[in-house]
Amino acid sequence: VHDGTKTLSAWANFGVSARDSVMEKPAEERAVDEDALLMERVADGDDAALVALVRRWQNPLINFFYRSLSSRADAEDLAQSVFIKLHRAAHRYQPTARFSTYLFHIARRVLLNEFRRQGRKPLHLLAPEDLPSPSAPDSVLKLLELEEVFQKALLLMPENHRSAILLLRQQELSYAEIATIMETSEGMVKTWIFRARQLLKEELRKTT
Amino acid sequence: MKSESYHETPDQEDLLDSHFLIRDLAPPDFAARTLAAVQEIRKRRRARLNRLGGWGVGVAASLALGLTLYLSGPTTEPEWAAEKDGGGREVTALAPVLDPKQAEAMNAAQYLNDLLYMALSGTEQAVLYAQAAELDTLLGEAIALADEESLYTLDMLILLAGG
Repeated sequence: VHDGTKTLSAWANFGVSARDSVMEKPAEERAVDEDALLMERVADGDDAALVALVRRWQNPLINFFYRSLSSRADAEDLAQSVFIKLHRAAHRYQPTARFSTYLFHIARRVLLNEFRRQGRKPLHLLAPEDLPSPSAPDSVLKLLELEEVFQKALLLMPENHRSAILLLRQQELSYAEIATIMETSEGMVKTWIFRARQLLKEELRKTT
Repeated sequence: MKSESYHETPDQEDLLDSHFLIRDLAPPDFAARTLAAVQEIRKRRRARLNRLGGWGVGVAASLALGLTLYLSGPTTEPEWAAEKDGGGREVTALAPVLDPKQAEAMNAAQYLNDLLYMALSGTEQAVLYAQAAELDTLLGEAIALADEESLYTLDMLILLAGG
């Protein structure tokens, strides 16, 4: 069984600062380290850095939560909650893994907390603002129907299946990163993703 | 990221991919709102700390007042009873006798000291409680970040308790 806690605690024990690590890495990796630098600035109380970090990650986070909850308002609230937690933990952050791994680990915790708080899954499958207007053309209605089927299929599956496939296909994280975020083994992640894909394809096939 | 094939057609994959695309869902003011929320939390936190600091000053002031009262309280000066010995010289009596007024003042001072002690204890409790309440909030944050059994949680708890 993958020891997620070991990996996670390593973040806190890593002794190299983000600035040092940027100097040692080639240019193509610097985009990734931009997040680490921003986190250092956030830890120093730089609000502009926090805004920059939010702008870089707001859409990935909101999309992740939206697909998990089917509510844009809730997705925005949870994304904001993640950034608040990130701000609070900034002075502790050490760049031992990709920033996205760290960010989505917090995001998934927030999501699980939200599920516990709600005690049930949301009833609506699409946010009201995403519902088709009666005058929309057939092609748009068809797309929205597919979207609703897709979203419904996502909500049908267990949370770990859904989060795993979202992290892989939507956030483009590796199996290893997903395993770290979800504190499980890569093998388990692959199994969850396989099952999630099967369900999604089956549901979409029914509609198309 | 391209995924491995599971006997599906490219069309199915494209269809899936299209639903996994990251859309521009964030409202234009999202970053500003998030910053405002962070600043509000920071402000509340600072106010809480200031309040705790104020209580600290209150405790110190109460202590100083209590000590002053204690040190300047009425003393029991012995009333020397006159006694004559063989040499005709006056000697002092052995037992001190309290003046009723002095005794009353002393009791009043003692009562005040007791009240002060109770006030101090109450303040101390209040400070402790306030700290516990804040810690409770921080622990809630930590629990949201990780499972209790993970070392990461422990790290966070130490961080939050210290921060």
